[in-house]
Amino acid sequence: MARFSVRPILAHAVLASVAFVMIYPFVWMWRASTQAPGEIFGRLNETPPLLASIADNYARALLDSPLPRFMLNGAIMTGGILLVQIVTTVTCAYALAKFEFRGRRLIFAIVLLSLSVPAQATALPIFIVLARFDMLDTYAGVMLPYLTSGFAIFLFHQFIRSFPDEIILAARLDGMSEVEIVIRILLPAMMPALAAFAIFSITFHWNDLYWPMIVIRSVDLAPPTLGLLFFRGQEGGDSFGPLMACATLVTAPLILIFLAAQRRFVQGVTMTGVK
Amino acid sequence: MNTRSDTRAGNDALRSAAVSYATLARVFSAPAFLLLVATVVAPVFVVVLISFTDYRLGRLTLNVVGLGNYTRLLSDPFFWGALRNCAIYTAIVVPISVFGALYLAVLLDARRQSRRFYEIVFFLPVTSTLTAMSIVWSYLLNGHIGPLAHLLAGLGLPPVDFFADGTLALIGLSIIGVWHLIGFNLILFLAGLTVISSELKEASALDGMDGFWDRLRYLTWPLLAPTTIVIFVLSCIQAFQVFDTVAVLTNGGPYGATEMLLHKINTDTFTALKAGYGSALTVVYLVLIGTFSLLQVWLGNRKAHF
Repeated sequence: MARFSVRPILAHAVLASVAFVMIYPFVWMWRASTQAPGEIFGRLNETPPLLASIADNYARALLDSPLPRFMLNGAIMTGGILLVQIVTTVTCAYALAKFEFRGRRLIFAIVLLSLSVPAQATALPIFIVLARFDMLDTYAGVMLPYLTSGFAIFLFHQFIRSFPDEIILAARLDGMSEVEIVIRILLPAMMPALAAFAIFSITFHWNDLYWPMIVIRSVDLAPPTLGLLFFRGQEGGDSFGPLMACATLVTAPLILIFLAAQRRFVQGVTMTGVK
Repeated sequence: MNTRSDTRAGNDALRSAAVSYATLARVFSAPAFLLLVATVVAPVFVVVLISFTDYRLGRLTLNVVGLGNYTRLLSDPFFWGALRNCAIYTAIVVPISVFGALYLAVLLDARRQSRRFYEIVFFLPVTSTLTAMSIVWSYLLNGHIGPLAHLLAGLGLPPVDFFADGTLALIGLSIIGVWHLIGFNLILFLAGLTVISSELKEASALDGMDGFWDRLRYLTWPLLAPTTIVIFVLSCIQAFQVFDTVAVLTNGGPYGATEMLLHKINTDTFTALKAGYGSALTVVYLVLIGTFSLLQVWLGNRKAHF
């Protein structure tokens, strides 16, 4: 009888009310992005048709503001970082996992050490070097500190270490070069680990505000996070609907990836926990 | 690999193969190695060095001032303010997001059909772009416009303007912090709970532990405690790195009431251009986060179940 008691109902009530708080900001953002100026805060009595407001706000966000440019910048930076990261980390992880060579332990120690250094702590020296070589305010400047990842090397190393030696040996006997082995044998086998890391990396760099804020000066090169702040500063309070439309569009890509690949996404993001 | 190569080649061939494999391995690991040295190891040393000077960004000369920046730091009320705010923020965000997540995870672990749905909803804030969501929160917590203002007015209560008052601003940031972090911790706890096998749960039920609190206290909690400690340390690291919400919402104000360590490092170094002093602050930050990270690695290697 106790099984039918209030406990499950109570549990659902708690879960549902927390869920409401979690999801409310998103709902509010979407609603605000679909409303005409003045309507959001209930000052407007005659509301224009919903679709007209949506069209108006999103058209202003996409056509009158540099938002598409910000998204493009974000995609270039995030994509570029991820691509170079994969090239530098998979090769390094392969070397560490399957070869014996002098310096191996040193490299591994540096990889482990880099895990406990937060990215913000190295900002100033990198900034000085970038300034010296006239690379502030460039894509390369934003990407430079993130071209490799101690975390990815560590993760891939764990994976490759348990990859059977026999397969690699057989490939060698077949005349494959080591580069071919990495590209044609390791990479396909590593897809789950790669996907999880990709999601971790994309989330981190798409959302990053700290480093772009230091390096990027011109509006044209701003990633979405910084671009949103520029937009807010420029337009002020009148264009509230378009601002919320921008916020929705900036948040949308990651949420869509999340909804499309939930398990992998959760795995990727919670990797920071194992890191 | 090379040591256990089983080709029929002679010893010489084997040795030269070993040498070339070693060369190859160095070539493969060189880019990452050089990048890690250039972007992590060297900068840490440089920051420590700069912290002993009075270097200002844009200036060509600098003087060595020894521990001058550190003594200045100790007598800088704004540094202590930032540290205190960081500590308060952490003291609010970490316990709520860790024990809140633990409670939710235990509730959720018993659900069958609705579990996926709740997981997705709770994890949504973690995936979202905090800069954008901070702008949204600034309206949600606004005292004059927005839903909270409406709610309070509807209840006949006086308006609460979160980001105009020092104490409330810190609480406002903490609310956003909990909202952003709790789903992350929840997922880690759920992973930890699945390790506790269902047989164990059934066995405990047979032993008469069918009360919710009994099970939590005698079964779940002891098994989950190591995981909890790791999540706790992890949350401290996350909370100490609070930056986006401060930069978007308060800029450290009103009157420094929400100034946080990372935000102060950023403004002192890159806005006020006091690179030497900023570096001393960075060293403090590095030591704090580094200690937590080492603690986490140490604890994680010992006994956490994920």
